[in-house]
Amino acid sequence: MNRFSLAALCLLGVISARAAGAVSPAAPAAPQPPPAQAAAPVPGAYAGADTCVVCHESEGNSLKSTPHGEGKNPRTPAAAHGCESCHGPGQAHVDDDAKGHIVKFAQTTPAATNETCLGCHNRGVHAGWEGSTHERRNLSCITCHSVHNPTATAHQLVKATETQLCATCHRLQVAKTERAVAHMPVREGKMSCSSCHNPHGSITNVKALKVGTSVNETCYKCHAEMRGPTLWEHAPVRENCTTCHDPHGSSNDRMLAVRMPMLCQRCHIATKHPASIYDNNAITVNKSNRMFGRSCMNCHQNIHGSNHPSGQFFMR
Amino acid sequence: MRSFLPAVFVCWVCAAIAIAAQAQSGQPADSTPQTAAAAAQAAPDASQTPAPVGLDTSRSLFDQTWRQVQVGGRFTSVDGDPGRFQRYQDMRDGVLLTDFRYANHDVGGNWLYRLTADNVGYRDQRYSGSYQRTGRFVISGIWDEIPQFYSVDTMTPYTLTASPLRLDDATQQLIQNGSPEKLNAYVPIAPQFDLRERRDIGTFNVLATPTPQMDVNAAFTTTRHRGELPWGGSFGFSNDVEVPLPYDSRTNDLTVGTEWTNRKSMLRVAYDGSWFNNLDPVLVWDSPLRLTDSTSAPGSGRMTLWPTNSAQTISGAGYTKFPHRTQLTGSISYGFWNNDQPLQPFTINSALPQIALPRTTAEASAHVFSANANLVSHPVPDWEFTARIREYHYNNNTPATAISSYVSYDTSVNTSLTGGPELYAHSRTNVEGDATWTGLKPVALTAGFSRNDAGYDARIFQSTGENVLRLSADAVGTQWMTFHGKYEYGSRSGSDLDEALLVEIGEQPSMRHYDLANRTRNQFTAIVDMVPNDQWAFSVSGGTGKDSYPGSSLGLQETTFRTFSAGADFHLPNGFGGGGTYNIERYGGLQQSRSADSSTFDDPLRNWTADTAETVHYFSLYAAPPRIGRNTEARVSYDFSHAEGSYLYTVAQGGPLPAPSQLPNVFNKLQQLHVDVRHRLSSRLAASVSYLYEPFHIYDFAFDPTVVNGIVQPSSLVLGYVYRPYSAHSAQIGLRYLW
Repeated sequence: MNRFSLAALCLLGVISARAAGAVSPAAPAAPQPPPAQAAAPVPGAYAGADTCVVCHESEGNSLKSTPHGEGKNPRTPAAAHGCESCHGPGQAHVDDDAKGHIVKFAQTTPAATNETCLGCHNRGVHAGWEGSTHERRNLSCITCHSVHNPTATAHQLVKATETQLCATCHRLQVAKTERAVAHMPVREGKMSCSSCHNPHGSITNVKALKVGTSVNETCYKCHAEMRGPTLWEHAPVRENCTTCHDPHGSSNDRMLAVRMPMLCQRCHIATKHPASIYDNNAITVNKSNRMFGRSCMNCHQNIHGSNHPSGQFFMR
Repeated sequence: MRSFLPAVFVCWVCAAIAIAAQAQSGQPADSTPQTAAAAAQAAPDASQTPAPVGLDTSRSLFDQTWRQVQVGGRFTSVDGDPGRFQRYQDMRDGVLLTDFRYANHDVGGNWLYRLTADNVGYRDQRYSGSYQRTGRFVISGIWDEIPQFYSVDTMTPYTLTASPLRLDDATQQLIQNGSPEKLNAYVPIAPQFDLRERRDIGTFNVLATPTPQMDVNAAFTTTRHRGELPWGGSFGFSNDVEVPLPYDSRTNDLTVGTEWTNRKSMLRVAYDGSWFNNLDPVLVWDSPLRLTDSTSAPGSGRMTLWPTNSAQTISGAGYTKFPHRTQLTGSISYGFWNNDQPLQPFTINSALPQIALPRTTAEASAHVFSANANLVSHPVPDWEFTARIREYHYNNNTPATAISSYVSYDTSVNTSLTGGPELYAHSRTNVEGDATWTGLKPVALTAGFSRNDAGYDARIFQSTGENVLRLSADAVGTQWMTFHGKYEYGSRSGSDLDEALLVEIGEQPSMRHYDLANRTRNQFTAIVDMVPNDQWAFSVSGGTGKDSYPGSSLGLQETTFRTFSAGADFHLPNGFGGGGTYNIERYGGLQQSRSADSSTFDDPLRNWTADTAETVHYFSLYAAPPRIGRNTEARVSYDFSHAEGSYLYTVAQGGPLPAPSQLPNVFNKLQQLHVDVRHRLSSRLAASVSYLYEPFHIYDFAFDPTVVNGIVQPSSLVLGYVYRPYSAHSAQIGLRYLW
């Protein structure tokens, strides 16, 4: 075991020790409302949700139809202080003619907004938020979600679909999923950005990929046939699928980043056919089997690796 | 380029500072751009409570509710390639039951269940269901079918069964006795068939919450993947055979995990198991050129396909919080990957000498170790620091395999250049740190540095190291504008170059594999969103970048990208909403090669370059007019994309290579016009009419019908899979019932 592995195990040990309090057999406590103000809430400073909805009826109604309003779930705001679980104690706000003394998330910093949400959303898919790419780019939870007025039915998104939401910033990647020639079934509704990515960050993987510990392991979740290992391996295949494929979409067959034979000729410059110029004559005059159809893979079809003893060049 | 990008970045930072000054000028409080836009949209969520929204005539008929169903019919007309039009969909004519949503819960909120169904009875049907005891457990399941429709143009004389794929013996004998041009004899006995495959995915998930701090999760997914794929099965250098590969596999994935969380810490342990089982692991197919084996050619071929394999992974992850908003996050995992499938004989050709197998099974195995640690801290106001280290090791445990000779194309015995398979393995260590200053609210300025080290077995570089510098500026939280901009510079270099590895396999020693080669990277991206009022929103984004490969005399030289996007959305007080987006993307790649034989191997005058370029235009419009009368609503959208690729060959001046005949450009153009109209007939019933017009044009010289003009090509027997244009009209008429 190398030194870093030992350090990682020790780190997890520290975390385990600090988390040990969560495993005690004590009766489950009601969730503590996250501190919206610097001081801890004082009993009696809460106005009660019934008071809030006198003025904010639509917000109260919208909350009832979402997981936040599930009073039977001890993890929800509805089971704690209702509206004031997130917006902070509200009696002072009720008493204030200027209607201050309340947390208005439209005006708080992203860090403050996130701290409120993460007070409850601190596990599962949200566990990797701190230090994630979106967090480091100063996004807040309400950049993508709306508690009271979502547009999408799922995940309370501010846009009608996940794809539209991600396209707000990731236009390039979303545009590639629309490529007519080769694409994942995103625009057909069978996949979405979150099929591969966790926008809240990934503890284990790069590029906010939600499965596995490498790009390839994410791909293997649907393409397990490529996992191998095999007897004869193709090095770039083993190390990174995106060396050859564009995972979001491409105008080339099989979502290749560059069409064959040019893609293969970027690494194969041996004598004879790997480094030949396959120009228009190869199509119109010679009709070379290295140009039409599946090009190099007309012969080298086991390009992702071969389990055949004669598979050195992936032809068997 | 290198001096230009930082200057551009400085300009963006100045813009960000200007935004900050504007934000600090005391503008009136208002909702964030995002919530303003959301407020302008229709409809609150109704995903949980099955309120009788069908009775609420103020709600839009386009809002999803949890008690609805649409029954009707679909009528589709396709002129051209129906396979490409329907690629991952089933758009056939027929009765259509879809958009079924049903949810119910008890008055006390103790339980809730939901059911959905879409495209019932079609190849792309999908069902889901879930049941939850609030705060205690959730059980859910999904059944999803994903078709993949390749082509209706395909024909084959091969039997469409599981392996072995057979040809007519008489025709094989005829060709064996005559000349290869008689491949045309297969044409009359090659019926048309639809080339398709499909995935059927079933998922079952249980999430239990025995205590508010503890979650226990178990998930099982089974995927059946079957059909036919276009697959190469050649028997020689100048021979090409394409078969409809019968493919049938099942993958089962199981995840079991537990997570403990309190306000300060989280700990997660999990097991992931994955089993891929190829039900057709070996392909045997007849040679179209001859019936019987000979010492120069076989009567059939045999190859292995993707081997049955498994992966078992145990993992742990967690975080713990400290004062000053400091959090330490870590994970560790260890995986065991195996493939122990029987090794096939070196050849199926009975006329060739059989080579002894090195062992009876593959014994292919890998151990994968990964560990991450991430520290985030806000020790003082206006500062955030992040440090991260990541280790990844792919350890190849496959035993060394001595293979000195092999059989090429089941035709001839050849000597292995490497004496057996290379045991590729690799490791990565990534260390990075970022510092963010938010003192100039609402702007956050970040500087970061990464060091990426990688080690390799059996690659031309034993290791590579890369330094990456990042600078970014992000401004969010202003009332009317948000901005994100990032510049990244990276420099990678390889160590311990082993050119002998290249020479051993006959490659040019000055060629460098671009996934390892020395590389300089410059990238800049930025996006600005502006929401001047509740009615309008504008967005502009762009990016540019270049990867250069100095030191790669041969191989990939550089890649570039340039993108620009602009969009606008509006929502007027009268309910009229709409918007549009325009994107343009440009990609380029330059590679250098050398066309030579052994006697001219070192002649640089035989060099040539290929300059590939692609330009993509994408344009979309949508409109959601206000209600027409009291009961009619409509939605219209139009999407247009046009991609064109070019390939320019250049040979060395004064060299012996003839001037290339340049390849024609390839292009594809897709348009989609959607019109949806819904009319409320009563409080519970609505009529729905939707229309899709989708013309598609494409030219790709590799798949054009003028090139692949039949299943017989010079010395080749193929499937006839081509890229064809189409023009499709599809209409759905139905009744939507809401209750």
